[in-house]
Amino acid sequence: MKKTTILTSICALFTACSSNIQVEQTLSTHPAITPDYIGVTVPVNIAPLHFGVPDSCKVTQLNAIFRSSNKQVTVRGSHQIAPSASEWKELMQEADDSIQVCIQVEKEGKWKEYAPFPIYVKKDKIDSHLAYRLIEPGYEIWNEMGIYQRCLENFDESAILTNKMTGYGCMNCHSFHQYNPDKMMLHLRVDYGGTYLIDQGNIEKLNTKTPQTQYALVYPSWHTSGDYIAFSVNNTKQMFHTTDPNRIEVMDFASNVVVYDVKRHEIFTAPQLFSPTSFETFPNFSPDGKTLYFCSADSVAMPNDYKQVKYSLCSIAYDAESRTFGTQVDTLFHAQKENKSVSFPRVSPDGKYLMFTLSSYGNFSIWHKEADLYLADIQSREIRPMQTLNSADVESYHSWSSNGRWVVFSSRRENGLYTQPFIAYIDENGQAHKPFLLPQKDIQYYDKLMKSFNVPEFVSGKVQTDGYSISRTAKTSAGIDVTFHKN
Amino acid sequence: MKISIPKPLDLFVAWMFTFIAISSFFYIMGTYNFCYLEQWHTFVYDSSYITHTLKQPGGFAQLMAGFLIQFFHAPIAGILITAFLLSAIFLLMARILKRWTGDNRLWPSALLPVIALAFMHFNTNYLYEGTLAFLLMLVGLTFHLRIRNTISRFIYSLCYTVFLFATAGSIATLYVILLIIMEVFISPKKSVVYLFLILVVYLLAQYALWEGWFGEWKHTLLADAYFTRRLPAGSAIHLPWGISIGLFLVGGLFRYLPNKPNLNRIWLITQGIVVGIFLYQGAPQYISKDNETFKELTCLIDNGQWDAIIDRCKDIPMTNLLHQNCLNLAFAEKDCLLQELKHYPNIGIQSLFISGNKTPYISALLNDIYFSMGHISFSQRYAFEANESMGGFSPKLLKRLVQTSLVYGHYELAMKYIQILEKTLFYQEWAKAQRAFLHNDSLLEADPILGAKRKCIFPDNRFAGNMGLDKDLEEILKQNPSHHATEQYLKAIQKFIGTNIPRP
Repeated sequence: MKKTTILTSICALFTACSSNIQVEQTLSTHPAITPDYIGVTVPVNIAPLHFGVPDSCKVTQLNAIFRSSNKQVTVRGSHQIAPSASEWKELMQEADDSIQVCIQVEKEGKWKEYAPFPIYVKKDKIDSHLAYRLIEPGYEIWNEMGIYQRCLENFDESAILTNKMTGYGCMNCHSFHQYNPDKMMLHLRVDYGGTYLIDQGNIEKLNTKTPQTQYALVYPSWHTSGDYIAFSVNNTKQMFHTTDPNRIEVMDFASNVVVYDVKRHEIFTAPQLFSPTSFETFPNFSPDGKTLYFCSADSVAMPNDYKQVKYSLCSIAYDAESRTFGTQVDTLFHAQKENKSVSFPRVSPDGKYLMFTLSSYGNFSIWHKEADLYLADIQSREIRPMQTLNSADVESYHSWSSNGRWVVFSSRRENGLYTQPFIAYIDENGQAHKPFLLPQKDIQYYDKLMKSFNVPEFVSGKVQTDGYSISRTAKTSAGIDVTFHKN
Repeated sequence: MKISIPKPLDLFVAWMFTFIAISSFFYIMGTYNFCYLEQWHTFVYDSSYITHTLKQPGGFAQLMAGFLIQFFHAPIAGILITAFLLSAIFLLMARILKRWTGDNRLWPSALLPVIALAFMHFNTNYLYEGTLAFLLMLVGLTFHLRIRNTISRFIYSLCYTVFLFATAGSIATLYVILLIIMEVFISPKKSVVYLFLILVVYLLAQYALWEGWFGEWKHTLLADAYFTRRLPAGSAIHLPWGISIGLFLVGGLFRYLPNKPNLNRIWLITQGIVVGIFLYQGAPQYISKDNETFKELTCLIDNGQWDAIIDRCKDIPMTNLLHQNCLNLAFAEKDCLLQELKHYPNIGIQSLFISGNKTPYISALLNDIYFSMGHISFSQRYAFEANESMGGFSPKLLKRLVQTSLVYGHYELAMKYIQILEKTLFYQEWAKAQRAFLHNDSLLEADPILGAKRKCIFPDNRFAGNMGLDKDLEEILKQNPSHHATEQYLKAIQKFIGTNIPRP
């Protein structure tokens, strides 16, 4: 139990924090608020942070005083503090580098005041939208799922596409070219299966399974030019643990990396990316388009040796003009040497850093409680854990904002199963600040939600292509057969 | 026979008679039918849940259905509530036909759509809101006929079409069809304007598709909307709508048929025969005795009424694998599975646990069987999948997810499910009681159910079922030798080894 120090005696009634509440106790500790926004760093254009105190505190009223340099806002609520959009915007704009929040609670007819806490405000804006899939963190079957977009400057959420519109099949791997809401791709599985490329409202359906690759395309990464997308091709299966807290093991029985030529409807690859003796996956183009990062592991007998699969972080040169790859594979992180496994390499937009997930083995890190985020300095090759971002539970899928100052990542720290999106500031030195949970209008939103936030990706605006048009293409178009081109 | 205008007392008697008849029908054909339905849905008293549901076309009917279904916790409640709704439908239908045709000659036929709806209620994939939507539509038609002014009647119809689509969904199509039929027979020339309502419904449906509320035309315009949308509905779902349209067409002809008292007895008898044939032919076609028995056994499993299951199975031929699974589960819980196996026509391991077919119904049963075995990971998996398949608010499965999360010591996760159940009417007490186990290992381990199940978790992690379920059970038994159900199942499996082993 936390020790608290009572600074002022109960008898001394006085007014504090300039509110008109008669505070009877002033505590030197911070309140336990949910979500935990104490000391977090937020962008100036973020939606209001709504929060409350846990039910177990049994408070009857809450009062919060927000102060920035020239502005003070008082907000009262019975179960949550919800500053209005206009007041919040003013607070953010007036903040030099932080706002102070003083919380007062009424419990059993008496008001207590907690020590003020800061919310740090950065002038570096965050992209206006976040796209993600909402899906049950389930096993082999699913029900409703969809790819949604949320305006980060308010609480507006809308569906880009839901599987209600596409025969309840699976959909995944939405990805945007350079954060552009008008140029994106996603996959549909089962009914109307295919890869869908959307460019300025034009929707193209691709049949990406070829005799050479055997499986459909999976994890994508757009080339800077927008003319290519690197994909992995995975034969993925899942099994279920009896005792392990990780519940599910998802593993690749085979995988390779290929590049899709958007204009020619061809896929091509290189022997280093298409080796029968190793598993290659998670391609990621560098911002200059000259390097392709990917993960690679020696192939082993699956599923028996699933714990022996450890993915190294590798890179290979790529020349977009000639569609050719370098001959040398550079290894930034040696999995076998470090006895760890890399997944989801993502290079920062300035090309200085590469963030990835590190777990004990395998590549499906969302089911690995030990999975944490790491940052590699590409120049110095120094690799370090993102201590501020990591927790005792899973941290996995992550992506950079377009200005490279923010990352969004998935974490299961709250309840161990339902993934939630956290956003963190990364400064010029690659140091992460305390992350904050994506704010919601209703603070119980995450408690009630029976779905996980999956593949959170920043987008610079709202996706305008409607789900109806995508579903019409899915249902009416036979699709373009992608061919495999041997270099 | 002279048909006279029914007095209020006559109406009450007619309604009462129908109510008793339908209640008896439901009670005889499947006492546990509605109780089983309640296992899959519960009403969550939460403003955002309510608001979210109301925003969708048909949301009001869906919400009301959820509200009513929560009371089906007691088997008789579902029977009485549904019988009440269906008898109201009968009464409204009979009154509409009478008011429109000008006499009472067609009242027995008003039972036909009611019977069709009653049949649908035995289909687990039928959505209860279909009946509420039907009732709302008839309310609209009733008021329509009371408006004498042609223009006012049309304006009312237009508004009610939009209202009906918003609150009850695709039933607006049937409403418009029946309106057009009525108006054609009232005044063929003026009825042309009602064709505009077809366009209105089409535009509403198109809008619903654009907004992504529905994915298929049939879910915006047809009766398919009231059937689990992931599955093809088949022709049966169209029966209540089809019969209603047919009935109104016949009603239109009756407007021109002279009301001859000497023919009325013939009409009445003819209709009685049609209703009788429909009931007689339809009941075995649309109501499966096996399914109803399975529903009953499942409800008994839910309450841990093992003796009742064993007694019930004495009265039925035990040739159905699902029934065998339920009975063997009861035997395992009573520690007598092995000795009872030979007394029933078990065909092999599938008699103990059927292959998972990815339907929520089988998954829910498997969740119970694996929980009994002490195989917590499989129990959790099937509970999760079944709950997910049914929309995430199955009280039975949420309870199991609370239990399995507690057993694994995943207290934050258990808390999430507890908080949802605390927002229900009939499960909040149970949920509140589970809070005591959160972060309290000693209390949990002392609990006869949760403690026993926790002891079943064996340290040697493996992929569940990968080496054979019997190998998993051996490990469980090593870890918890006093878990008799595990031992019973293990020995039963060993007895059957060599027969067709299903994939867990």
